[in-house]
Amino acid sequence: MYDVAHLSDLRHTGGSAASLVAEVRAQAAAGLTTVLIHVPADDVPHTRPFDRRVAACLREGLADLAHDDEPELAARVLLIRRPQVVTGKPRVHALHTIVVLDEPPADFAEVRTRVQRHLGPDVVWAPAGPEVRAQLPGAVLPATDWHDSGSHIARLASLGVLSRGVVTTSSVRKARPTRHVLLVGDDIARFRAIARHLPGDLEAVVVAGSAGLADAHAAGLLTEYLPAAAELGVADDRWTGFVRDRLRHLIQLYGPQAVLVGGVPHDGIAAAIGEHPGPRWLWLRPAMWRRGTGGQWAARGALFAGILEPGEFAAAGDEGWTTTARAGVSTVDPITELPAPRPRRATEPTLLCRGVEATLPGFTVVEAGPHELGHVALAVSRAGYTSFHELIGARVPTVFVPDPSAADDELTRARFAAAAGVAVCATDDEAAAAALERLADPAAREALSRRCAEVAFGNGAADAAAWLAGFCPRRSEVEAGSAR
Amino acid sequence: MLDEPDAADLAVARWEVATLTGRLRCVEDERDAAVRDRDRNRELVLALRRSRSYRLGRALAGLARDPVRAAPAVARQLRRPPAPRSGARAAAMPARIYVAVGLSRPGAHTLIRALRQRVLVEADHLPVVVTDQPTLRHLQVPGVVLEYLPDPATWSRHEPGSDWETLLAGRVAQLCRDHRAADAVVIDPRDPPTLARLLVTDRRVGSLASA
Repeated sequence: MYDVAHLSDLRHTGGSAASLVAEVRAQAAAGLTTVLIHVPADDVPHTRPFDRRVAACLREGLADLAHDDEPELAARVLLIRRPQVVTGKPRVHALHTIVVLDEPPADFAEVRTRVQRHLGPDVVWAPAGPEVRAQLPGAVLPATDWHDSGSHIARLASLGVLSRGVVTTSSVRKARPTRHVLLVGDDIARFRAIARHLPGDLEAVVVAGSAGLADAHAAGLLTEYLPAAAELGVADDRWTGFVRDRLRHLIQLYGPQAVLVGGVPHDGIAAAIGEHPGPRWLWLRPAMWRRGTGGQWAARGALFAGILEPGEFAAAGDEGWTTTARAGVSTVDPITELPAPRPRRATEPTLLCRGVEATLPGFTVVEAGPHELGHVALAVSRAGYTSFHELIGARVPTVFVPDPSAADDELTRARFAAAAGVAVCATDDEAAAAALERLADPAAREALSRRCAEVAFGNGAADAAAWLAGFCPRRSEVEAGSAR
Repeated sequence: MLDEPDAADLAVARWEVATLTGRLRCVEDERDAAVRDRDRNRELVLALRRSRSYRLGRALAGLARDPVRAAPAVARQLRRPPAPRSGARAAAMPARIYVAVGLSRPGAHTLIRALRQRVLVEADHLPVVVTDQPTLRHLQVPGVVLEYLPDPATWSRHEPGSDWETLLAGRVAQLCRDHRAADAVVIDPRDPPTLARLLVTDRRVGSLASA
C-alpha cells in the first residue's frame, strides 16, 4: 500500500504541477511512498509529454508511476488535482480522498457530482487558497484552505500518514552515514513493523523469498532475494552452500552491523554465521510452536548474540519448546503494523476473509490492511501470528479458523481467544459459517469488540526496533567505547 | 551516418560493460582457484616423489617386473582409455545469466516465457533471469531460475553514494559463481528478444541488446 497516490493529468504544466511536485518531494523526504496515476484529459494533445518536473520526480525514483494495466492500487491518501479528468472509477482504493482545487473547473457542480458518484460522498474538496474559494460561492468547502493547513507532511500526519523520519533529499542523503541491518526471512509483516521504527540513519535491507519480496518492496524497503531450494531446483545440501554464499555476498555489499534472522536458522544461516562472525547475528524467534515440534532449533540459539521473541496474546496457552528456553531471551509486546488505537468506524456491513473463503448474506467481502481494519465490520481468518494480533488489536469481531498444518499452534491461539471472549473459534467450515451467522447480529459483534478493548495489548514494534538498534552502535559510539 | 546515442542507449551500454565486468571477475576468480588447485596438487606430487616410501616402492616394483615380457601388455594398457568410474556424475547444465532490468512486468513475463520456450527447443543451458520486478511469484515458470536486483531508481534512493552499475557488476559475478554460469548477456528493455531471436543469437557471445 502506498502512503499517497496523486491522480491527475501529469502532462499539465503550471501551478498545479508545481504543487504536485513539491508534495511528492516532501513525501519522499519524509520517507513516504508515492504513486502517480496519470489520467489523460481529452483536451490535451495525446503526444504531449509529462511535465518535466514530474518526469524528474519519476527519474529520481521519488515516486512510482501506476501501470495502465495494473489492478487496483491501494493508498492511504488519494490526492486528486484537475478533478475534471475523473470520468470513471479510478483504479485506486484509498482511506482518504481529497480533491485539491488549484483552480476550480468551469463546471464545478457537475464535476463534483461525477467525482462523488465514482468515489463516494466522503471526498473532501479543498480549495488551494482564498482566490479559488472566492470563485466558488455557495460551495460546501472545508474551513481551511489547502495551502494554509500547515506543512504538507503535517497535513498527511493529521490523516494518519506518519513520516518515517527518513531524510531522503539527495543533497542531504549523500552526507548521511548510513548504517545497515539485514532482515533475513519471510517474516515480512514484522520486518515492516520494526523497520518503520528504526532510527533514520539505520537502513533495513530485507532479504526475503519470493513470497515476501513484493510486500517488502511495496513498503518502500530495500529488498534482496534469497531463492528457496525448490525454486533453484537443487538438493538441500547444495542449497545450504548457496545460502551461505549469497549471505556472504550481501554482507560484503552492505556491511551490516547486525543481521536479524526471522523464522528458523536453517543450515545455510548457521554456515553463514560461522563464516561471518563480524555482524551481530540476532534471532527473531517465533513462539507458540505446536507441542513436540521445533525442538531441534533450540541449540541454534547459541549461535546468536541476541534473541527477541515477539509477544503472543495467547502466551498463557503456549506449550511450545520456547517456553522452557527463555533464559537471556528478550520479549516485547506483539509486533504489528497497527496504527495507534482509534475509534472503530465500521459503518458498512463488510466481511474480511484472510486465508479462509466465506460469504455472509448482506455483507460485502473486502480486503483490508492493518490501517484499514477500523472499517471492517466482521472477519474470518486463519490464526497466524499477524492476522491474529492485527484483528484482535484492531478490535475486529473475528471468527478464527485455525490451520492444523501450520507450523505454529493456531488451534491454541484460536481457542485462547475464544476463552478470553475476544473472538470465536471454529475448527471447520460448517462451524465457521454458523459463527458468522451469529455475528451478523450487531450486538454480538459489539460485545466481541468491547471485550477486545478491555484486554488490549500494546505494540512491540518500537521496542523491537530499539532492541535491534542497540546492537548497531554508531561509529562514534564504537570509537568512544574503544577509547575507554 | 550514425545517429547520436540517446540516454537509453548509453544506459544499456553501461549495463553491458558492468555485466562483462562481473563475468570477467568471476572468470578471474575461477582462474585463481584453478591455479591454487594446480599448485596444491603439484606440491603434493613433489612431496610424494620425494618421500622415502615412494622411492623404495618404485624400486621394488621395477625389480619385480620382467621388462621384456611385460612391456607389450603395459603399452596396450597405457593406450586403452581409462574405464569410466562408476557413479560418475553427469556434467551439470551450464547456466546463462540474462540481465533483464527495466522491463515492465508484462515485458518480463513475455521474456521469461520466451526463454522457457527457448530451452524447450534446445535444452543446452539453464536460463537465470535477473529481474528488477519484485513480484517474482507471478513470473516463475519451470526451467527458468529467477534472481532479483533492485532497480536503478530504488538503488539510488536507498544508496545514493553507490553506482548501480557497480552493484550490477558485483551481482553478476556472484550469480556466475552461484549458478556456475558460463555466459552473461544484457537484454535491452526497449526491445526484448523474441523466441526467434533467442534462437538466432543462440551461439553468439555477448549482448542481445542490439540483436
